[in-house]
Amino acid sequence: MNDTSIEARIARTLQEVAARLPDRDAAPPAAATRRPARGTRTLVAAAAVFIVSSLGAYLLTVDEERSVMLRPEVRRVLLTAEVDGSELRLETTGGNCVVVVLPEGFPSAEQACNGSDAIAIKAMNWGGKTRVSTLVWGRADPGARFSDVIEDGATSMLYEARVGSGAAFLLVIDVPAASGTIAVLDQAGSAIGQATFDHGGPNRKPKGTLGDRRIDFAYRRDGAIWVRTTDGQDIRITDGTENASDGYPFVLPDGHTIVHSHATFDSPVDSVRATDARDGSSREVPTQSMLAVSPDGRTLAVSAINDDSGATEEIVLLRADTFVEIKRIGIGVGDTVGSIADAVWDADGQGLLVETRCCSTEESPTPEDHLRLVDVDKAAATELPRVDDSRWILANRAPSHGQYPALRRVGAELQWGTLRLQGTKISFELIATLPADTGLDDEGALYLLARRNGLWLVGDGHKLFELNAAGQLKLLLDDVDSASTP
Amino acid sequence: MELAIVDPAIRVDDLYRLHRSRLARLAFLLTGSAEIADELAQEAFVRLWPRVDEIRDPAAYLTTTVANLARGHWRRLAVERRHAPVPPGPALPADVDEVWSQLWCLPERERSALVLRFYADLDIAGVAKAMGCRLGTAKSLVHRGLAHLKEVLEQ
Repeated sequence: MNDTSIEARIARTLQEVAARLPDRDAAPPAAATRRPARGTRTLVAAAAVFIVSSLGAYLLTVDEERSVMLRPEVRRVLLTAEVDGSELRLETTGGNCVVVVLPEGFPSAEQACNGSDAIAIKAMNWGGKTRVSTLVWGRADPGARFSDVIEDGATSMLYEARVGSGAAFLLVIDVPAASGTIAVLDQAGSAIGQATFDHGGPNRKPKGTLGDRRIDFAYRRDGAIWVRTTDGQDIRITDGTENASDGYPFVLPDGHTIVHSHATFDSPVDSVRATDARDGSSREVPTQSMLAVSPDGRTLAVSAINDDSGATEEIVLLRADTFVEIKRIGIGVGDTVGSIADAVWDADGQGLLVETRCCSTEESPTPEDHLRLVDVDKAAATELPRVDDSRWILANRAPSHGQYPALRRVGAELQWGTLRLQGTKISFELIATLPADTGLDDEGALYLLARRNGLWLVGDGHKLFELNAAGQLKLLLDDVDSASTP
Repeated sequence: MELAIVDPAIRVDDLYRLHRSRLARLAFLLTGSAEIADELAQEAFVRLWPRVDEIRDPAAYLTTTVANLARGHWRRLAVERRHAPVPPGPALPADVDEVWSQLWCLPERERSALVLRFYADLDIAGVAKAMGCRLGTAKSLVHRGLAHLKEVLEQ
């Protein structure tokens, strides 16, 4: 290789670009003991920090005045604090789990739950950064559910929330093998309810098998695949190495086989796996992680690299029971190539709505790297582009664990749901005329704002539109830049 | 208040000091975002932590994890919202800027393959492992990426 070869130019370019990346503080994890500066834009501004010791003790620093150390034998913690003028009482039971008072300015559980009762925040501190995810408890809709992981600096609607006075807060400091029960209290100290959690971690063994029981539904939690049986039992079917974050597990028509995307800590490469809940045995097929099971449970749609193109992904249809390939469907539209981000089956199982990432070519006006929607007909293996830039939809999408309805096609309408908006519909005809386009706020703050009864869209020229649940579009503001944020 | 640090944590400390910067730079080249790169590098250590004593080659594991996380990040909503389609451009010499810009015109997987091959200095087998694809596919990705770049750069 001489210095002018293309390989040498690439290597030199990469070295040069990489060298310009600001050298961040290379503080090791233990340095997380530093107290974060107040006012920084982190989810836990007065963050809790911890160190795991060989004795299993956890140091927790809430602020300069409050700190507590817990040992495994500690089974119950009760802290009180005043936030926004209201006293909050926080309690947890179970080992390896602590709670702290959330700092002033922390998002409101009330808003995070959309009027439900409480929210628990679990956090893991690493190298001075705190990774946080939320556990939501609702009285009207009982049962704990985890929302997406929120990372420091991430743009999230939760950031926009404000501390309210009608909710209790919990911050659970997670450790790899933490488990316990969170009790959610109201301001009078009465328990609203409680939720158990079990942050499996990779060393956890499966808790059991299905036996003669029947599966009600399957779900992913804390690095493992779980099932809820029809008699209300929760059984962890796999160990805690299910590292794939996307998609949710499906129960096949045989009633005991669970199909799920799969990646492990040892081999962080995605695949699709079928696990038999009766005995934990499994088989898998390599894929590129996208997985969608047809409504009748007989066909899997997965993504795979088209070996001829070397880059473009295509849909591969497989028999769910045997993983035998049925058909391949390319997703290239015109001269555009790209990868598959996600796919959902139509209710009749005859087609899929596919999200693709496109790379523009001279012939294609598609914005490069924008996700778009394509209708794929299973029988004819044809595709029809629907939305050239679907970020406005994706920006408001359901969490990837699938506990809320996400995107799907219902007749001539596109339907999607989120934590706050259930079953929003809009016709494909209207989509074609929607104003959402590029050139929007990079932070996405004004990009798409969810509301209970609809959503705001910011379109060309930063106009603000309201899309209501009936799919009607109404211009609210002609010039967002000169008006205050709604 | 007593503190004690366990050995695995100390070991991760060392790995962190040794590899964090390298991983962040690799992630930056794969994602085009310094902020996301930082997060991916952190995430790689988070994933390593529980198993640090079981993994024979932590450096390779971390590299593979970052490559996989970078691939996954394209699919993720939160990152999608924050990520500009074109990577931020530090002030670069013209010839470097030209190659860097053209790299970002390549399909994502071709670009990743080239970064892993020519920055992370992985051989084709290593690229295949990091990208979770077959050897032939990795070879094809590198070959096509080079061919595409050569074509546009020599115009």
